[in-house]
Amino acid sequence: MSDEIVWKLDNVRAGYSASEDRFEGVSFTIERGERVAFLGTAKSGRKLLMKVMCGLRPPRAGTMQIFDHTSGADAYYRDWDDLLPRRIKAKLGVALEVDGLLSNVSIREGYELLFRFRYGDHNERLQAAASKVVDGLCEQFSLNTIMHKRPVELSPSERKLACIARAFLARPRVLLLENPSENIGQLSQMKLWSMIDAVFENQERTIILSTEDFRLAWRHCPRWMVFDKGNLVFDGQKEDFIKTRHPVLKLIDPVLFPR
Amino acid sequence: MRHKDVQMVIYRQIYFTGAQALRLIALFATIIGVLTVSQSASQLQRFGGSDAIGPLLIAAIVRELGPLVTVLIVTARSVTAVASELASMNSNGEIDSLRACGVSPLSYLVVPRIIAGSVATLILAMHFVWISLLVGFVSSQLIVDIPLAKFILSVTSSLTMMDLFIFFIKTFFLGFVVFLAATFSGMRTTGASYEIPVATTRAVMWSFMTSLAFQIFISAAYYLYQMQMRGWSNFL
Repeated sequence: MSDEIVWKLDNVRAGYSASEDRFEGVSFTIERGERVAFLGTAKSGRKLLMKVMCGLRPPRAGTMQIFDHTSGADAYYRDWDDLLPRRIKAKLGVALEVDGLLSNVSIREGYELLFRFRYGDHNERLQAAASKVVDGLCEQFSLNTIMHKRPVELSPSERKLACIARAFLARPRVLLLENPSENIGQLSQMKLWSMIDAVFENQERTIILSTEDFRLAWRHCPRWMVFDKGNLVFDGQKEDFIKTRHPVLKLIDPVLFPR
Repeated sequence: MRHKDVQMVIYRQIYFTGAQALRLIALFATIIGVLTVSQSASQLQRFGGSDAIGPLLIAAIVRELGPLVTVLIVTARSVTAVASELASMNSNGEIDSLRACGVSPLSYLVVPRIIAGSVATLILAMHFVWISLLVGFVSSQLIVDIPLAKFILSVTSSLTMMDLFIFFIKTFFLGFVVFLAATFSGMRTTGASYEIPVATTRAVMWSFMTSLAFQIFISAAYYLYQMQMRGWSNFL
């Protein structure tokens, strides 16, 4: 792991409405190459935190550093399309809980469209590059059977897979996955994670996994951040969390260590 | 706007709002043309004023009804579609995923739709006007029997550059305003599915209100300008 800072949040607060904060005063640092799990039950603030971290929502207070870019509460009053510069967004691969696949085009057309927006379509070389990248992605994630279908024709697990594969489109330095195990069976999950590991093999890339699935987090992320009602109640190694007496342990203990 | 995908959105929107609505506009233009001539020509003939049919058609159809009826049809047909499409994209997380991938929804979804909607409204209004005038001529033949040459002379002599200017400005900006209302209303939702019909209704209401207000404002400005040009005493 290098010392390069990927995210540094300092006392960040945010909410869905102007009058209410969903989480208050969250501070942490994530360095390059770390695999971090954001854990917590519903209403814990994880979902909004992911949106703030990938530039979809502005913080209402505090400062957030992403790579070399810093944004603060002043971002709240700017155009939300420009919360993060495009050069920073190009480093992030985001797969949120709601897949957000473009409904009026096929999966392949959707991928190519995003590629063209990111790199342009000024000449045939770029167009060929878009096709090549999409072909590569299709092979890596075994998407051949679904590439020419529209999202409405796909099963929930196929949609989830297509959404996660899309996050790899720009060879991201950071991968943010929100509930990646949702709608996916155990075998498909194992296959998915072997694909992610294969893509990230020998590369110091950061993965942030936001989930309620403690078993998944136990398998893939050494560092855990546990949220409860908008507060960061634990930040450390997963083994250390087991030693705490947090009430959630009563629920997850039999899941992680079945007798 | 050079981007191929943005151009495709513009072409598709023009096709949907413009090309697919041509028949509906033609139907309304026929009805308005027949009604305008049948109601006015017989009255004008009674007072020996059948020559006034040209100025009347220009005032009624080119300056007022053409832009207004077109924009009402566009509102009913396309503004609702655009508002509900954007609201459902918001609800499905498509707009968030575009933003997360560095695609600005403003450049990809909003601006192309407003441009395409304004252009398509203008084309539809032109379509409305020529059909109304044609139908107006046919109806006037049946009711007051005006010769074609006299009818054309009456219409062309009453059509001024100012009428055409007002027609183009009014129609283009009405299209702009209603599509601005549609995109703004669709994008303003927070993502809940129950907001889709709310966004659609809101877009229609905003479109009706803004287009009627704009229509009244332009017409009032035009008639005040006419009064000033001809002298106030002629009108009092």
